[in-house]
Amino acid sequence: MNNSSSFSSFKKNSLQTSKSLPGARLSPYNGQLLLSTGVPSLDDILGGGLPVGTILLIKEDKHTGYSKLLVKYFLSQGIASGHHVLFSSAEDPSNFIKGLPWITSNDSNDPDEKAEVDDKMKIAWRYKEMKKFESGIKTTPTNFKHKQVPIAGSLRQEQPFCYTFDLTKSIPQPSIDSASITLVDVTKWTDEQHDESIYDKLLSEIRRVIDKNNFSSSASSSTGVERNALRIGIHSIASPLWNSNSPHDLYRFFHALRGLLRNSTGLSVITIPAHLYTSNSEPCSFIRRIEHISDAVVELESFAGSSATVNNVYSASYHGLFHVHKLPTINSLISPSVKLSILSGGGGNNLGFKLRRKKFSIETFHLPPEGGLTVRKVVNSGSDEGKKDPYDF
Amino acid sequence: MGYQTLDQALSFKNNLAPLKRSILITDTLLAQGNFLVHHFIVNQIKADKHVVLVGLSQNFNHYLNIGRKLGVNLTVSSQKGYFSFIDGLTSLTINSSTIASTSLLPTAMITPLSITNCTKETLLNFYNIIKKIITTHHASANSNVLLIFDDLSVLIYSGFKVCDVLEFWGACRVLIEKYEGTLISLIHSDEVTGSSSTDNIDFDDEIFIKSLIYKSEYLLSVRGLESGFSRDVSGEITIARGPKNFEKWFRPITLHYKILDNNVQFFAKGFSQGVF
Repeated sequence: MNNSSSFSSFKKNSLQTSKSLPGARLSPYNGQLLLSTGVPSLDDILGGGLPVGTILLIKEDKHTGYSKLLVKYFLSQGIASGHHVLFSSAEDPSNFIKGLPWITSNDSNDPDEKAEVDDKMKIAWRYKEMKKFESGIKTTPTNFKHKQVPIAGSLRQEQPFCYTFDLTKSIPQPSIDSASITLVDVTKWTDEQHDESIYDKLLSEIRRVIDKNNFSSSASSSTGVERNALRIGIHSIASPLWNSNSPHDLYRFFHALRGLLRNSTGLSVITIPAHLYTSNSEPCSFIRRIEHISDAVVELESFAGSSATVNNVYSASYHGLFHVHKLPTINSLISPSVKLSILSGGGGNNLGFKLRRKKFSIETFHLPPEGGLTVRKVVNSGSDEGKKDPYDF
Repeated sequence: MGYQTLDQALSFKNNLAPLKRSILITDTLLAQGNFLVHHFIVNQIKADKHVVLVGLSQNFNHYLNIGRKLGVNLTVSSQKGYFSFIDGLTSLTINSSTIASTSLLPTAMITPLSITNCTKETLLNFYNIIKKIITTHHASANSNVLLIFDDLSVLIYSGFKVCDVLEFWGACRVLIEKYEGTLISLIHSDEVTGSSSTDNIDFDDEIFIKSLIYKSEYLLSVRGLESGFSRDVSGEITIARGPKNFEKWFRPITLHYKILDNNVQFFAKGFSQGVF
């Protein structure tokens, strides 16, 4: 009898998930609605993208700003897709928005990509036809005609899942002006009232934005309004600039935010300076609690900020290590990433990240071939006819 | 069907959680124990017994979708009165008046729970909500209600006092024994080497975990492999007896497990299918 009833509810489920958002796609594993983080390799690791309604926690790198870049990508992707963007920080959020990277124009010739095209085999030609060994995720060049921000709703079908951003370009002012952005500077509050914690205030601000713009999943389905996504980016939460009364404030904020996002079309990327709370890179329970309540947890460990000496071989090709602690597992027993991710290979691969001039990417971490990548010079001293070999008798 | 290989390992009578007992599930960040919760829900519903699920870290949809994969429809069960869900995620920290109509899913029988400040009174209210649900819907003689907390650590992490939460848990235990049911609680127990031993947080955690271990009859402790990640083994589970439990039929055992799409395989250490 259970079977017959489960059939009827299947129909209901497919209806629920078909409500689309601009720039979203469905997970081929469990039909979860996904949005891009703006970094194709990070999308791959998360199982195709970040599921709507979840929190991605990024444990920040020490002394370097790579995790900040991931938030920038996340917000740029949101602005480019016409999502509502809420950004909160204790370090001048409006300035942060001005520094966002922007979409590459098609005519740009990236030296990295050019090099890859010229990368023809000089020896062993017969291997040319074979599949290339890939350690990264290729961005399929998206041909789009609209350089301006597409107005939400009008270009729904044509939007790519993930735009290609160029770190050397910054977001044009018209795009900022036309986008719907909410900036929350948490330092502005600290002087006003002391009875309410900074996290409570931020949460009520988020709740206000959700209510005002109908991001709540039950509200928009009933009124039949065009659905849009809310991207929440929070940079360096719980850094010393965030005044907090008790260690439970932060946990309560995450717990409430998770509940709020689950019933809305919002998703969130939050970075936390976890290294400030640990003495010797051991996990501490304060951070561990936050990790438990987040849906996905990744960590950046940069070589530049590491106190340990790093082998030159590593630091030549990567800027740091990328650790995955938790993957989004929502509405399924295992994370879709286990099945779908190319990079993490079911979770078994070591990952490193590198920052090129124009883009940030995460790749599988492996040692270069023995002897290094430099061209081995063949010194043929014997062919020198005129000069006598000193070892020749 | 729940996970067949786990049923074999637990060897509970009729594959149902023993009555008037407490099962404690502990997990870590790298090996999460949620999958065990679904096992007990599915077995209970399949046997036409009752379940009250307190979702403190997941919403109803999550359990609904996984339940569907494992062969039960929780929406139908809740309409029939076998299943109740108490939503402790979306409404734990806000007033129930503000969310009264907007965030509730019409498909599920959901009772919002509201905790505005972390005092003993709010836990008492919480207990009264649970009590009301059990006495009104799941009190019949053969319902053998299974009360599940997923997960109880949320209360401690949110700032409730350990002694208050333990008292609350004890009250639920008494309630469950009265109605011939079973209590399952999931808590996190990461082995964290605290930066300083004077840290109150770590101390609270430890007291909480140890107290629950002493008060429970069966312990299911889930953790990652010591040797690190493996493609064929998701983690390790130890099925152990609590200090008060002297049942002779019960066999403590340590197994490896692998989580699949809609099943979890449990096998003896080193006997992963991927190895052979």
